[in-house]
Amino acid sequence: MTTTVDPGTRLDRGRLWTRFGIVFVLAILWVVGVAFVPNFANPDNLTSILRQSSFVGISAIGMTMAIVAGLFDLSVGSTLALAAWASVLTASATGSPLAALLAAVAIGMIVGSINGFFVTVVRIPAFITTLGMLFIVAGVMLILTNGEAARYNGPEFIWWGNAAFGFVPVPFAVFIVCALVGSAVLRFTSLGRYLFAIGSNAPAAHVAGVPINTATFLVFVVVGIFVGISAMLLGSRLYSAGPGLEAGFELNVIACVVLGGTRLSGGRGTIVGTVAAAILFTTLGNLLNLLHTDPFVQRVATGLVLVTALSIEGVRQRLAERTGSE
Amino acid sequence: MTSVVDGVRRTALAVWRTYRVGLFVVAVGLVLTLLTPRFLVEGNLVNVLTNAAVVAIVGLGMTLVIASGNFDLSVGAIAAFAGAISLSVVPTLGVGPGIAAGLIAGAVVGFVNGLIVAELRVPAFIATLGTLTILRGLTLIYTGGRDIYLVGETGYKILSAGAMPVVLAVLVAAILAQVVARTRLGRHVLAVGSNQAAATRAGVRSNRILWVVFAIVGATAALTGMIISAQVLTANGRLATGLELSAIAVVVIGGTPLTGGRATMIGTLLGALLISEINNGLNLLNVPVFYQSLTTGVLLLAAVGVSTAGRQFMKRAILPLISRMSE
Amino acid sequence: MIETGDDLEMTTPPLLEVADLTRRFHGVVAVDHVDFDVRPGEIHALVGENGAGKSTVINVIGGVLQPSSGSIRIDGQSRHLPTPASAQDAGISVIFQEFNLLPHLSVAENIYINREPTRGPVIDWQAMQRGSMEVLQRLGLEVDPRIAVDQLSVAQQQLVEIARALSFKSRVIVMDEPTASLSDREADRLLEIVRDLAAEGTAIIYVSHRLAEVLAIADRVTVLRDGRRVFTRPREGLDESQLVAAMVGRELVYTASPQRVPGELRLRVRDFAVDRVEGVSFDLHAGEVVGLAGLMGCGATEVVEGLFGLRPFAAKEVTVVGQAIAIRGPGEALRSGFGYVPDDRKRKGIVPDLPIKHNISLGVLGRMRRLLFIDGRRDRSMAEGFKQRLNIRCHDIEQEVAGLSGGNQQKVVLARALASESRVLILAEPTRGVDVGAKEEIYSLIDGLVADGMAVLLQTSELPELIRLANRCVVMANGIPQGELAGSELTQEAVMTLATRFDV
Repeated sequence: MTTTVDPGTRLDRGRLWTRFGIVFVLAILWVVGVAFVPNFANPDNLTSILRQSSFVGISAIGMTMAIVAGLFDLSVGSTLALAAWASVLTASATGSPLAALLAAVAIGMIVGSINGFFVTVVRIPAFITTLGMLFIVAGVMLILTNGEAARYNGPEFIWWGNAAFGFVPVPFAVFIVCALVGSAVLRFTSLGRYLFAIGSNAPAAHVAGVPINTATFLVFVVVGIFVGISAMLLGSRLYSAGPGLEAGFELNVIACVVLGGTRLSGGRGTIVGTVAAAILFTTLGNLLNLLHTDPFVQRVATGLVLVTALSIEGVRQRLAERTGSE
Repeated sequence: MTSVVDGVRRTALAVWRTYRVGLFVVAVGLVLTLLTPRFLVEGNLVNVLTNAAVVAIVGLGMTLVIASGNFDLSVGAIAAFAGAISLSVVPTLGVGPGIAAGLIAGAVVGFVNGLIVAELRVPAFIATLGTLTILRGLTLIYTGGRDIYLVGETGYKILSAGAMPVVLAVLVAAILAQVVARTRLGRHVLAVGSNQAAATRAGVRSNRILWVVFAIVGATAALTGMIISAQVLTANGRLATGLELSAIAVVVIGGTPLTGGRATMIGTLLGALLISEINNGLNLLNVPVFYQSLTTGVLLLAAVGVSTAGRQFMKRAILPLISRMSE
Repeated sequence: MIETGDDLEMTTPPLLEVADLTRRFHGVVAVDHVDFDVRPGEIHALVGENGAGKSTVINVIGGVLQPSSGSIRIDGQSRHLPTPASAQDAGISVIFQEFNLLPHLSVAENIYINREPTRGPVIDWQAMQRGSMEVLQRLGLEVDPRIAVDQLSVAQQQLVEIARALSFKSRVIVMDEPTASLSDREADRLLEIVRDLAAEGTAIIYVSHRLAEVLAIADRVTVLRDGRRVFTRPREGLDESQLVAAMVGRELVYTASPQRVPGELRLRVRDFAVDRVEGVSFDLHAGEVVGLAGLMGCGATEVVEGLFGLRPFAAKEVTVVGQAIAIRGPGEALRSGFGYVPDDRKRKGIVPDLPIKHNISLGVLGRMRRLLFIDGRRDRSMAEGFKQRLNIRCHDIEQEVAGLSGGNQQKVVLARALASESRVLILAEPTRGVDVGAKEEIYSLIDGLVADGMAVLLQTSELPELIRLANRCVVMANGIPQGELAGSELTQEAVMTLATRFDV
């Protein structure tokens, strides 16, 4: 009582940076682009950036929720391809974008349920389960498609991936809606609260009565739903989908989440950060393109950005430890 | 005397954990022999072993990384990079220096990974994800996006000739197994994987251990990359995409726990062998190539599922039964 | 003004000195110009509340932290200890409360970690085996050095830690709460070992909350409060109440077991069995505190964990307010009317990244929903209510729990248990790791709750706490209930008598 006059430390400054640091960087990047890079400020170009960011971004929203709970889903890449293919196939069979969307989301939910089952019932760690499903879903896709892509370019279907409201592309609008939904779920629903608790201290969450198995199962299904949405939009954008679609997708998605400020070990996360990071990656790629940089150099740059951004946090930690002061 | 019984029980458990994959290898082998006469043929068996060896080599390095409590997702990129470097050096300096250059390149990249993880405190998963992207990009820049061919200098083929990959795999396994079991470095790697904070507080130079571990896996990745390049005397920036996931899969199937602190090199060898055997079997049975990806995944889940389900079953059903019986 | 007890032992120069040590964290002073020293062969106890600075001092001595100013002197020479390894080289071993062991490695390897004897490039297993056996024998620990440490009991692991310090031939051994996880017998054995070590000339710095123990073993005692040294005195002439007064700033006296008037029957348990515990039966009424107590390992923990659904159990009867219930998990236990404060708040209690208000409402989110979403206002007002009622000290309820002191974190966990409006409140070690001042507050809070009609089941291994709070108690030993004490029969001696029965 007399010992600690200080009622506790406020971690405000760190929190602010985590939440909004990436938005700040994104803003700077855009300002630099507008000021110094020719053609960047062109409305078509900006539209293209926003559109590009949506496909990875929508899946990253679901992944953010999983990582907040301390879980990973490595199977999203394979699931994306399978769902996109199913989507295109359904569109060409029925001509209905809605059916296509439902098909894609259904695939996502099925894969998510299987992931959830293995993690909660059979108790295989999420990393391994989703790694295994990555192979399995890819294999299933190869078998079903026989190595061939499905194609369809019915106007109603391709509108979703390619049209725009003024200069806001449709996929981006969907992205924003998904972000709002995801954010609402995380911050205002029981599920969201449970996910944070599980990621922060699972045993304590258990003792507090959090239904860990149910929440875990649900989050995998949710990831699947968002992947399904991404898949339908991607298939619509490309007029096709087949094996090998978006190689390395899962790693890109995870990179977005982590760069956005969500902690890899769980307990802390931000949808806003994820959205900003997704846009940041595509902006970076776009800027480098406009500067006629070798596409391969772009890959190097993207990787460097990721590593540098995360190193900053690590270095800060070490400095604080050494001197015991800010 | 209970301690003798305990000792026997512990050894039995350890042996089981290491070699249980071997049982599956044998079982699958028997099944395949029954299903097709083309399996138990010398040429085919060499094929199986060779394919296993290629993944096994990088898997062995990955075993060390996982035992230290980390991951390396950049091994595929390192393989491609080393392959490219190696093939570029050979025309000017010869096969020997070419191979050495590849290994060194791999080790150096690995070392950089180690630095990022240890000094900059970036989680290994993300750090190597970044390196993967950077390295793939660098390789593509270096090769101009095209293939590098090695014309004429077929001495390089020694890496992939006949049973050489198998010999190399066994050699690497033997060396790493001995390092882990009998050297201070090896034991410290396990210490870091078991409880890094405690190890550091006890004075273990955890940072240096990590540099070395990542350098080792970099070198093994380089070796794998060079063997793959030697098979077709070509290198390019897209070589070995996805190698990292296969490497992790064989380590897990082999029985090394993802949580760190324990390593079984033999397990990894057997894990690689099992996957290679099954894929080979599917080939011989004219099952479309597409099913191979599926089998890796199913195996992975089955291998872990059986052991976790087994443990759960023990905990929930058997143990309470035992304690109730003893009342 | 500050006594150092130097007059009595002027002849032997100090082995280790903490000289004018100051350490800051983010601008907050944790250790404020602290001086003390320890001589060869001396057992010097360091006591103080949580947050008084003991851990920081230990960390500096052990090379884990650097001083902001001041120094550590060995044999009179100022020594820079930038790493734990350098402290070891200087002859200092620290045995932390959270074990520094490598669970997957063997006992021998843990003892010799980083100093493994080698023959050429390879480890000399035989030499390691021999050396470990020697040291283990000295401590009376009979285990095969080749066993992995995670197969040992907590007490055995502790001895392995000490074995490591011994094998170092350290001149100074710092022990942080060494008996915290030991049974009384194991603790006694440990104290003997400590005395032997001191007799051999090793200097021991002994940090402990257990004042009786401290007074039994120390040559000198230093008290820290708020990061400053209050005094250093020889053991002669010191008693517990003086120490407590110095630690807290005032005197505390625990009254005898309280009188309470029980109301309706809330919980009835008959023939409860869980793991190796069996035959537990008791009744719990509103307005009373029933204790489940005994020595460490008596089985009381298993019982409360079983009741809350954390362990599978079997019982002839478990009824809450007349209703028979089946509990298979914490969720069901909550719905059946139990509230629970677990014994290890760091591991099983607080959710560190969530703000206080979310920690409190975590178990009752079902009630706070409006349509699909959680009503933020009800969340906040409930938390504000508890903040007032339990006097939780924080900037505001939006703050993350990780930033609170131990006592306040415990209050948050208590608030969560109360939030579920339970009929029965189970408290497991409610003031473990909480400083003396906050302890008192929590006791008053419990008094208040009980007076308002709560039924409390108290599981504790701290006898003074048991006497202070409970009006009835079931004493257990070795998994079997030994008897029930109530009212005036409930004294520390009576409890001890029952608790030490069947002591194998």
